[in-house]
Amino acid sequence: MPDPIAASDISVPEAIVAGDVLFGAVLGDRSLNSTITETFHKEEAHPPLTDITVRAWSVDAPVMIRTTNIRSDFRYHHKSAALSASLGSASILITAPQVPGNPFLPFAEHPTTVLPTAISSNWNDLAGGGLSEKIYQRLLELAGLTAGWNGAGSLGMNASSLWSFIAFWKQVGQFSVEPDLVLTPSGHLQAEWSKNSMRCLEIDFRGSGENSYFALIDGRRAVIEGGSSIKEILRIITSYRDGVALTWQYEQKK
Amino acid sequence: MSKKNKREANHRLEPSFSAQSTLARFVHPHFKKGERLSSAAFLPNPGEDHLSVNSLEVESLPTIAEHYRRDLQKDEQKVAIACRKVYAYNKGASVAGISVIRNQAIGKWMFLHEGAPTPAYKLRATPLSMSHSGVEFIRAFHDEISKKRFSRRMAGHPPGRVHLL
Repeated sequence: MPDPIAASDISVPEAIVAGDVLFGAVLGDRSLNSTITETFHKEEAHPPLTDITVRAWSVDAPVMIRTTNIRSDFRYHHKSAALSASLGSASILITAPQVPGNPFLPFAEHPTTVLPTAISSNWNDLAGGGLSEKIYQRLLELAGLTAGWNGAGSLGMNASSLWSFIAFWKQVGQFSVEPDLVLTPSGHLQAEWSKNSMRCLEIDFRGSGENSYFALIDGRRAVIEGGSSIKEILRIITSYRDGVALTWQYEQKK
Repeated sequence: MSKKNKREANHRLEPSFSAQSTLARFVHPHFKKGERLSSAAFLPNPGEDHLSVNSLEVESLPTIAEHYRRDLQKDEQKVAIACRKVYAYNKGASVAGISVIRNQAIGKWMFLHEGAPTPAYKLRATPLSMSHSGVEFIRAFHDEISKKRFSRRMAGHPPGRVHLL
C-alpha cells in the first residue's frame, strides 16, 4: 500500500463529465502502484445526492494516472458536481464550479478530455500502435460521432473495429501511407487508400473473430474483394504487386 | 406566388422514377475528402430496409439542400449532396447482383424480393420532406459484399456529381 497522498498533491481538472473520461491527475514526482477510487456524487439533481458510479483508476506512469473504461452517464447531471477521490487512507474532495449554459460541455478554461468509449477501451493499444498525431486526431474525431450521427440507426464507433485497425496498422504502418479514415453507418472503421478514381483500396475493419471486408481495385488490371480475417487480408494486399495499394495517395485533379 | 413556390410549381407529388430522373442523397461531411467521396456514403444505416434519397422530381435541389442542412447536418455550413440518376442506381444494383427491370404496364422499376416483384423506388414523404424516397432494392442484398459493391459503384462517379449547396 503506498503512502497516503494528501489532497494538495493531486490536481484534477474540474468538469462535468459525460461518457468516458480521462483525467490527467498530476502527482508531482510521486510514483504510485495502486488504484484510486473515484466517486461521483450527483447533487441538486433528482433524486438528489445519488452516487453515480465508482471506478478504479489505474496508475500507468510515475506522474500520470489515467482512467480505464469509465462509464458514467452524466447526461442528466446538472451544474455542480463534486468529485472525490481516495487513495489508501487519504481522500480528497474537489468541487467543480458552476457550469454556465450547457452543463455537458467541458469548460474552456478547465479543459478536460472526454474520451469516447472506443478510444478509452483501446487506450493501451493506441499508445503503442505507432499512430501519427494526424491519425490519432482523426480517430478521436470519428469516435466522437455518437449514435444517430448519420440519421436514425447509425452507430458510434465500434471499439472492436478500432482494435482491429490498430492491430493492422502496427504491421503496415512502417511502409504504408496514411489512409483516409471514415466511420461506416454501422460504426465500423473503414480505411481507404486511393490513387485516383480507378485505383483504390478500402478495408472495413470488424471485430476480432469476424470477417473484415476489403476491396482492392487496380484499374482494369485487378479487382480483388471479399471478406476474411485481417491476417488474410493483410497477406492478400501485401502480396499484390508488393503491397503497392498501401502506397496509393490521392492525386487531386489540377 | 413566392420564389420558392414558383420553384416548386414545376414539380410533382408522385415521382415517376424514370431512368433519367435524379435522386439526391445527403453526404455526411466526414465522407467527403477533397473531391473524393467515400463509399460509406452509400451504405444504409443498420435496420434500414431502404436507402434514403430525395427525388428531384418532387422538390428542387435548393429545397432539398435546406432540409439536409436543417434536419440532417444541423448547421449553417454548405451541405454535400450526391446526385445520381435512377439508371445509375439500377447499374449499381446490377453490379451487386440485383436485377432491376422496368414494368412498362405500371411504369415502375421492379426487383425480386423474396420471390415477389417489388417496386425498386418508392416515395416515402415525411412531414420534414415531401420528396423523401427510398431505394428499395437494397433489402435484397444478402451479404456485406453486395452492399459494398453497390456503395463503391455509387460513390465512384465523377466528383462533379457531388453538389455543395
